[in-house]
Amino acid sequence: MTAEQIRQTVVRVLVEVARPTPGQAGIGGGTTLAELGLRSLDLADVIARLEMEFDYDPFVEGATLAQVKTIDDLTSLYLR
Amino acid sequence: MRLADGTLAGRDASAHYREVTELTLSHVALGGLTEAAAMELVANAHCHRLTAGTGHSIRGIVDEAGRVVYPGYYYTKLTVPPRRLLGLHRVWDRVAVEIDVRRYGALLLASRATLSADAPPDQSRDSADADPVILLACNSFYVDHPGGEKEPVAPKPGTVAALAPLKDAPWGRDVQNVPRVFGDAQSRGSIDMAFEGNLSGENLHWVPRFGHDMPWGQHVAFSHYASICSSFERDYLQSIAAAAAFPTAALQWSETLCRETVYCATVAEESPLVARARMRVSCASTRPLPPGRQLAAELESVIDVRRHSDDTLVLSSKATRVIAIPSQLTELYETCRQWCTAVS
Repeated sequence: MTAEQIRQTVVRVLVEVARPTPGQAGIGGGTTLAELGLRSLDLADVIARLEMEFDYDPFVEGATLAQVKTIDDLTSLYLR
Repeated sequence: MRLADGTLAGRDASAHYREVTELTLSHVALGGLTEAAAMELVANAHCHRLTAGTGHSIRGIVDEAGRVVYPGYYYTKLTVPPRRLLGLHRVWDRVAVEIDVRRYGALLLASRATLSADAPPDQSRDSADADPVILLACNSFYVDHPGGEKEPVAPKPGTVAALAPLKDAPWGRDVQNVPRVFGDAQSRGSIDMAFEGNLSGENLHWVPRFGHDMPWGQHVAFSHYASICSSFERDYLQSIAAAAAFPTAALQWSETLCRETVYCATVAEESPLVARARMRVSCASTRPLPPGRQLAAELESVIDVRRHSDDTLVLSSKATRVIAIPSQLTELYETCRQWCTAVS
């Protein structure tokens, strides 16, 4: 899977789970997870769904939620 | 007392874990099994399954930084077959809990547990296990921070037993949407905003007490919220102004058939909680109860509990309960039916 395909998958899953705030502009790599309305449990849900997509979970390898502020932060964890 | 060490029904990570417990005074005092006690039995099996083979207890689960991690509950759904009422399990009876715990990503857990009478040696297990009580539960691994904040974290590999992924569980679809259910309940303020009761009552207030509802210095255990909700339901029923007052003695025979709860925040101080209760009473239910019981009323309720101090949603719970009165208590049954007819 290419880096772009990984990024698109991450964005798709985020949009499935997210509760975008009214009037929110387009979603880009710099969009924060807070701007998507994601709470901690939502993010855990995103991570579980991404594990099913990629068959890999960086959080088992030691990544922490504190590292993840933006979509780019999350995507980078899956670029191996 | 646990009668036998928990046993794994298989050797792989998807193995079901089974343990048998004698209901003692510590579990049910002099009475029968309650919702809270049933959930605690399941939670014990859950903790034992999570650490099976690791050589340590649940307190040995840590994250990469060495911080103690615990599996906090954010959702439970208890389903009790009408013929298998929890209260039928009395003190000194033996019950078996079988649990299948799955991981859902690195931070979430989901489980399905059954609870049934542990059949004596001369009876097949099949008859006791047929149509069991079922508890679906979802957890997230957390570490606590000062001030009551919780941080979801992944446990360090090796400190948790190997668990199969949720996607392979036959019951996985029943819980995969739970994070969404939780988020919606938190956003909207209730697990079921559309529910309309046929009784009208006022908001209820209640203050949890250290040493009773929670250990000193600790927060309320998830299982105790079922007791708190029952207390709110009782207060609500007694607050309803009606031609016929609710017969309080009937509460002894009220049994839960279903309760679905989302746990949104913790309570760790003696400050007031406020509950908005909606309730629907029906006399028309035809559920098949155990022999010797008569169904006097069915109560459906949604209870949304908030902290009075900051209006934070603590939990939202939707329940179906029946008042199943023994046949010989004719007068109480009739009184309860009259009340039910008057208010519904």
